[in-house]
Amino acid sequence: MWNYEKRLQFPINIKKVDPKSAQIIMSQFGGPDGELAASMRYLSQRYSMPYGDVTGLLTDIGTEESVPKG
Amino acid sequence: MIKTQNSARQKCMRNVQSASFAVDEARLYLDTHPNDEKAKKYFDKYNTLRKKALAEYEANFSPILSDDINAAKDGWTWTDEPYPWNEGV
Repeated sequence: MWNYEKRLQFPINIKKVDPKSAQIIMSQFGGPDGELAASMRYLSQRYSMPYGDVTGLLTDIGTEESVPKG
Repeated sequence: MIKTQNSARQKCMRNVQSASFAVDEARLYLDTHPNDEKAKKYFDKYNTLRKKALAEYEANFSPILSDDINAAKDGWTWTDEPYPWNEGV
């Protein structure tokens, strides 16, 4: 289940168009070692984590990493 | 893209963002340090501030959580643009 808050976590103020930087940021988000892939690893590995507190931590981190929120 | 930094709406949103940031980080810490009394007080303090800031923003501007929508009273504004990630606040 997914739910969202209609807000950014941090204010963004883009001052100029910069496709090169945008490409790097997009790769950091959706690329092979990006946030999206990491979030899915957190959320699937939580099921085999033997320590309850870390299960909770993985759930919370995976949730935060799932969405680019500024 | 945020055009001006100092509108009342943006100031109100900054309060939501800063309190929420503190709550998010304190939650992750407490997951593995559940007996840290200082951290628990910190969490409760900023969680209260966050709720206040959310209520203030939602009362003056627009809903942030869909839980807080009053559709009959305010109409359906949830999908009004611009979204925060598309040049909105």
